[in-house]
Amino acid sequence: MSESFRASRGRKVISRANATDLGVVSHLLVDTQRRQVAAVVIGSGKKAQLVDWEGLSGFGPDAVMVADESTLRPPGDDRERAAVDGKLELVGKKALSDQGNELGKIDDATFDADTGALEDLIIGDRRIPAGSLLGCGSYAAVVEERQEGSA
Amino acid sequence: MATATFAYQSHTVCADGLIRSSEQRRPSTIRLHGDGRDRLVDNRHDRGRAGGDGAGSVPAPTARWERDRHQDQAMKLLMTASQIHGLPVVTVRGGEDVAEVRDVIYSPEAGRLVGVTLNKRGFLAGRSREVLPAEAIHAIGQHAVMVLEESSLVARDDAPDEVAHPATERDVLGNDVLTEGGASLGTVSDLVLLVGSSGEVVGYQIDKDGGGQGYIPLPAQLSVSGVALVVPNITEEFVANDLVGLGASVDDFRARLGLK
Repeated sequence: MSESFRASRGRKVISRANATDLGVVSHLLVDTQRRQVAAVVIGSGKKAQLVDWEGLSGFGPDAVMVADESTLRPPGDDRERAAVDGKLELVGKKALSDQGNELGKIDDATFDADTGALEDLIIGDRRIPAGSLLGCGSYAAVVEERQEGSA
Repeated sequence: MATATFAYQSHTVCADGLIRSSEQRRPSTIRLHGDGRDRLVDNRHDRGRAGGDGAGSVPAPTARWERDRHQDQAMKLLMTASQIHGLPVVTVRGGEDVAEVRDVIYSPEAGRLVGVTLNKRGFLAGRSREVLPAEAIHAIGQHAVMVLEESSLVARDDAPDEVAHPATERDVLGNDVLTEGGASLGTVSDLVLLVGSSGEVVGYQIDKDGGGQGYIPLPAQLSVSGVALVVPNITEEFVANDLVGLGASVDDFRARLGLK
């Protein structure tokens, strides 16, 4: 099932083991090389934690389920710390083609809720296939210009 | 459709009308921007074209010059050096702005961009110790200069001399443009480059003697002295009013010179 970045923000994260509420989804960290949601960021600020995609038992329409609290971990490297701070968030990010032309702001992105595979980037009324995503950093998400067609 | 084979890249049109290869000459480099005078050029440029893009902002180029789309879908864009000045340098793989363009350095003989020098980004802004040789540039676009990764930036000491230590004595900015017949067309106020993944110099922006701005196509430059540059007589017929006009006239101009 296709899931939206924007819609999944704020979704509850629930422990399957004891049904406790562990927080809400604040960001999704994307692995731009695999074009895949790599981790879910829960909460924000100093208390923010991550769950690797592999650690989820289900990314559902009403809740994100994890096995138990022990699957949550603090950010481990600079990239994860940046993600926790929201600096790598795709939604709202400036989209730049690899030819150096701005395409607009990313309004939303979609991914497969079963596999975490990134599907499309949505910029205005355009959908850009995730396959053209080359990189995402604090300044911009870079996409291949050819895929994007006319600008 | 214009499948321009930029044959003039390594040639210089000489006063006798012959085209000579300039490869044996070490390209001298010319620095644009980075001092007070160059910013003056910027301002003038903004007023003349965009009509009040605030100082310090990068005016959006108004011209796109497309080649055969089937053959080459990437947009062909003409931009002035002033427009490139200040653009962020962004990594394709990282999406990070690692620097911004300080000086645009080009070789008038080779008609090519040889590289750019850099400023740091953000509040620590100031001259960067690194430079970006043309070979390391992935593409230049309207909003950014793209490099593959941060390691594409080269320490000044490791960079080709012409990028690391550009010669300044033959600056074309402010030079008079004279035809072979002795008519003055104006003074050089900026440099026009074909951007994208190229970085070729296709013309100059001039302040016309009669007032206003114009654009003249290259190869038109017969010699650079630091005072004046001499162009073929037919250049006068190809003075364009804007970048769109220049984009359209460059091919015709080349054809007339037998350089198509």
